[in-house]
Amino acid sequence: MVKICCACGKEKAALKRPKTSEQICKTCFYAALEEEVHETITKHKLFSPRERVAVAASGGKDSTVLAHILTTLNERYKYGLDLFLLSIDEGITGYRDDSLETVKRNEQQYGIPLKILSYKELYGWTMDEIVRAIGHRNNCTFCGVFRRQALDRGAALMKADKMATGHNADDIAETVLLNILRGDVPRLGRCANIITGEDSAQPRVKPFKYTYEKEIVMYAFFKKLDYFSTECIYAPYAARGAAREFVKDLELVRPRAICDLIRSAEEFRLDTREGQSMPVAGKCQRCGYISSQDVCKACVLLEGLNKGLPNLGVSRTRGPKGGKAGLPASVDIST
Amino acid sequence: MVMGSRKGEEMLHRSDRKESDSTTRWGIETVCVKCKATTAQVLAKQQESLCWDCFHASLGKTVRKAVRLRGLVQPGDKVLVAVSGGHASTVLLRLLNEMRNLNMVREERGQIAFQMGAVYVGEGLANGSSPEESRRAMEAVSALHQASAPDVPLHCVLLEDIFDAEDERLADMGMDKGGLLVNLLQAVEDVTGREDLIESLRNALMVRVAARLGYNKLARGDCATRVAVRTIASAAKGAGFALPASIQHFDGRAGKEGPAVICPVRDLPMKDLAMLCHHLGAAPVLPPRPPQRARRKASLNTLAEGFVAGLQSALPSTVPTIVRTALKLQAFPWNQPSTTLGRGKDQNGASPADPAPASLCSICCAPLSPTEITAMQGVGGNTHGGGGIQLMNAVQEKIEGAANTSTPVGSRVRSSTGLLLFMANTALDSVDQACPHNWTPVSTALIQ
Repeated sequence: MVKICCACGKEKAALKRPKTSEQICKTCFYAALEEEVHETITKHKLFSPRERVAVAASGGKDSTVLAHILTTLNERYKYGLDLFLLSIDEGITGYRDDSLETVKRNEQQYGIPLKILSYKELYGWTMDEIVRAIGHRNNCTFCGVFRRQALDRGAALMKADKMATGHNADDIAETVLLNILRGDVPRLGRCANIITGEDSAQPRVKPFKYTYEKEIVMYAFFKKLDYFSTECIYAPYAARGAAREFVKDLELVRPRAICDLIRSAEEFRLDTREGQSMPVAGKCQRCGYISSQDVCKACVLLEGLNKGLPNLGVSRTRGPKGGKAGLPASVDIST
Repeated sequence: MVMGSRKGEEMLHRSDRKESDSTTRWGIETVCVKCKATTAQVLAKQQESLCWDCFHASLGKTVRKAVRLRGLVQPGDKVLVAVSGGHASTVLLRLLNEMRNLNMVREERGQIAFQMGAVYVGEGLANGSSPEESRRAMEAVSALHQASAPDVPLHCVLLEDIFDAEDERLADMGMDKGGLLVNLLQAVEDVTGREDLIESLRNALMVRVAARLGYNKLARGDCATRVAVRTIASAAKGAGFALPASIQHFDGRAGKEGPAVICPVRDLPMKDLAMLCHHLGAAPVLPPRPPQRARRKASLNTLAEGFVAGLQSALPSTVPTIVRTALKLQAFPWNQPSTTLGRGKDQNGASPADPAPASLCSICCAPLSPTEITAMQGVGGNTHGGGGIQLMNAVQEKIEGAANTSTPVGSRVRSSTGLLLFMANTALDSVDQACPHNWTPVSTALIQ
């Protein structure tokens, strides 16, 4: 028996929506997914007209679909946004060089400008050089810290008002779990926020907060979007494994468990009376970018690299007299 | 009372064996760090090498401390201990019995004069086991009880007793209690939903049994490992708001008339409880094997159990960290014991429990968050889940209608029995929809 799309009632159903288990045709699926993202954007007021928005693009499925949907919705609903793609070149041979080619093609396909910043020009190191220096342990710490700051710097350089990232519902559900496992209560309260860093120059927004990873993949697949699907060559050493697998198991048993994890994080009764949980945003004394400490994490890690002390800022021990991890309190900041 | 799947229990035990051997690692015998006289035989809380006597005393001390600081058991109380034949509830019964002063008149240092009873809920019908199997399980539990605490009366009830025999509507339906229960459980297709419903029924039944027999406290053997599993599972069910209600030492949700639920062994990991059980020679009664068909499908609960057990065997700090995180969430007013005993007074201050609970789910008794209440009233939803909300409203109206025809909603246990009777009667698969943590269509609408 041929299943008929449950949304339009005419076309043959092409797929079963992972989020709702509805049998649906391709056209209705695209419409439903785009409509949900539009609703998320309008309901949470992610953008306001005439804003300049950086779309953090890696060339992977999430960011490619994000760029596609944002350009589509921008036209359809007249958001009046000035969109551009922002990519970071970590310098990983066999991974980032290929994915950057994809982003460059996306620039043509969606007709929005692209800016590429590299670790090499910002920090003087490529990821390949870093891994050669420190090995596979903790290399994702470096990459993550550097990329976060590199995106901020890129957005500031391009005078963006906001930055949109392709974090999907699965990613956020994983983060919620990881924060529970880690006992990080302040982050547990924040990790499900759809807008982060509201007080900073470029708040980050997540239009895909309620969009399932599987649906993003399906959207990219059926629309034949040009994306790069190889995993990072250093990814097997990443730490998210257990939580990621668990989220996928949950989804298999009950698809809405992902949404429910996010809802749980939003509704946790956290003790908000104590103000100690929120770090105060300040400026790094070395590079001048936003930091909660005197010296930002990127600068600490960079100093470790340059001095040949790769554990600086990575190991957990606090320095003497409350100094930053691995960094003596008496270090001369001016150098 | 511990509900656990066989696989999860096995995983928990496997990690026990591995680590309990580690006191004699490298063939060197260590001396007990407490008494420094005898050889250490067991590793308590994954760090202290203790001899069996000190281990027993140390677990007893943890429970004693919880009881005294939080005023869980007071002189003159009547405490009903929920036993399942598992490790946690067996140890709970033993340790509570040890701190009991049998002489109700003369005070004794460190002992509390209270009365004790035990309750066992037979769940043969819910597990799908044969009458013979359930009879054997019940006999094993009473044998275990006879061996460990013969002076404590044991009350055995069946899960189908949740359908009140005195309810006149029961006769109208032309079905016996067992048939009603099977009918009700079959109406819930979702495996997780069914497991949670069984747990809710069991809890409601135990509260009712305690109230009928004049007990004012119900002690459950929820241990740290169980709390960690529940934290993960609740998060995955979207019950983040309600979670802190069910993991505290004290739970006075039932109000003034109903018994308060206490969890004195909450801070002890399952492994320690199992080791003490082993030492005391109290072999656990494992729940009867569920039929092949039911076992193949995982539930969110069993997944969470496997997840925690897997992490725990690789990283021993997993359970304590999860528990610590969960306990940082704010509890509800009725988690505060009304009066405290002895030294606990300064800790809890003079803040008596305010038994005015917010809206509770009529099935699982979980407190409802503002968004859930809004969704139930059908005001908040604006999008694709609208159908779910309408269905929800219809169900809610029917439930209220059903509840109104019977006794006034004063006694909550009573009204939820009416609800269950109603649902079993109409074979409506509405338990999924009616409980916010197990209802299907509305959840996505809630957050969108």
